[in-house]
Amino acid sequence: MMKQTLVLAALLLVGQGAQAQTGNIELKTVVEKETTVTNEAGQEVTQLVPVDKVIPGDVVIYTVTYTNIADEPAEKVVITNPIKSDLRYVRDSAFAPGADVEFSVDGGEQFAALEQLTVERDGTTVPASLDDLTHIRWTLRDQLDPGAQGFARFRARLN
Amino acid sequence: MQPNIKLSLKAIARGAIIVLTCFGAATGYAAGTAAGTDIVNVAQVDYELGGTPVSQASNAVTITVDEIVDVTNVLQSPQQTVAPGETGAVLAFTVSNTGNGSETFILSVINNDAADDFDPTLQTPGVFFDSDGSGDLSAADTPYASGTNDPVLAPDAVLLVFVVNDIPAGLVNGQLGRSTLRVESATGTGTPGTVFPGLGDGGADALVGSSGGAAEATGEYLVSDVDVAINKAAVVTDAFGGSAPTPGALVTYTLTVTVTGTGTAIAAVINDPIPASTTYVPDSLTLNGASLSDVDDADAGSFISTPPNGAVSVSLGDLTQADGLQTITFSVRID
Repeated sequence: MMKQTLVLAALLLVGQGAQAQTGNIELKTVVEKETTVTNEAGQEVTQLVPVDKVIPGDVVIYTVTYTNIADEPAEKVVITNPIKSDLRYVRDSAFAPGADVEFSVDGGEQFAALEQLTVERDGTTVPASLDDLTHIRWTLRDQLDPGAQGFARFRARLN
Repeated sequence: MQPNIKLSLKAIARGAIIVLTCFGAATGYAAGTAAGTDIVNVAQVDYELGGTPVSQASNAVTITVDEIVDVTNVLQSPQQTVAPGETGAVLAFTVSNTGNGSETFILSVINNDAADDFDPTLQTPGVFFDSDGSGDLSAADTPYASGTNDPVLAPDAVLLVFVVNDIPAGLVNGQLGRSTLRVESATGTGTPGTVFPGLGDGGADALVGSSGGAAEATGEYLVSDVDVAINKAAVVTDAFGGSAPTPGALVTYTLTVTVTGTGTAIAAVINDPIPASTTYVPDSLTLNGASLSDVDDADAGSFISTPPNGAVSVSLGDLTQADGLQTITFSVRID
């Protein structure tokens, strides 16, 4: 069972091409764009294709893949990804099986659910908007066993 | 109550709109993230292994913002009423870089519209930039020479351009001539989505935006023998029943507008700024004896609280000689 998981993870990494950082957890990030293509059967299919060039208004998808390559379980696993100021998080687009999603509006100091975040604007405390978000964080509910892997994903639109 | 000072301002205007105030400022556009910007993403993972906290970074992925080539060109002048043989009839256009990169634009004037009645003749030089920011064509404005001083506009930048035409002689009332200013991106034009690899800011690709990288706007000249004359007079009433222009004294201005000739002054609007050191008396605006409210509503007049001191504005509509004298009054108090 574990071998199968590892093989799957290896295939996934080969498919995405980029060089992952290694340590006890292999952490890899890719940025892609949704593209609609018509397949041989004439059906429209949405595919994720790697992207390196964007224009204002484009929506990109960041996917962070993590794999425990140590021989003991990793606990309290937290994945953090910045949301750069030129990008605006697409509401409800955060996705990570088995993890809780939170956001930051202060450069990653504090995290909370989106609807609980506030910012100061013109001297008043107001609910945070999507433009205020600086980081997104996924907290895994369970420990990450040796060989286990998963991914976290979100969409953002270029301003 | 005797008139103490009589200001006489006689303006003979040949334009369809008489604007005593200066040209309005153009608004900007949101172009989005600057072309050539690199957006680098590095994720981080924090965890504990055997009770020891560990922090690791991911690889970095970079997306580069390509340049969108987009431009708008908006005619700022109403239809110009001209006389046969008139020289130096000016049309104003605002050219805006609505893309996200710095862009050079090439300007040209097209006067041979097939559907109009006559072709205006472009002066040499006939295209000017509003170099001094006055909003009007003036001696300080730089003439445009294609290929020599093609304007370079930053994202969101707006350029006011004047096109100066002469009107041929021998025309008759009611004939229409059109003049078009065309603006093209020097990077290239084409169907939206056309890519010019590596030609964008910072070596990014340039993509033609929804404008196609070019924009045209067309102004019109209508031959019409019409003159609009405005006379302005003031009557001062001071607090002591006299007519000294002292603080607190009331000044009532009377503007009389006369149209002569055979043509029509189309959509004539009178704007008159409130003089410095005076304050407009609310609800004092009248047209031909009828009160006009200060708010901009269904009636012809309004008080516009624009700096420095506000202005009154009265829309007279299309005026001909048959409409006769139009009388506008309003009052100010000396501060």
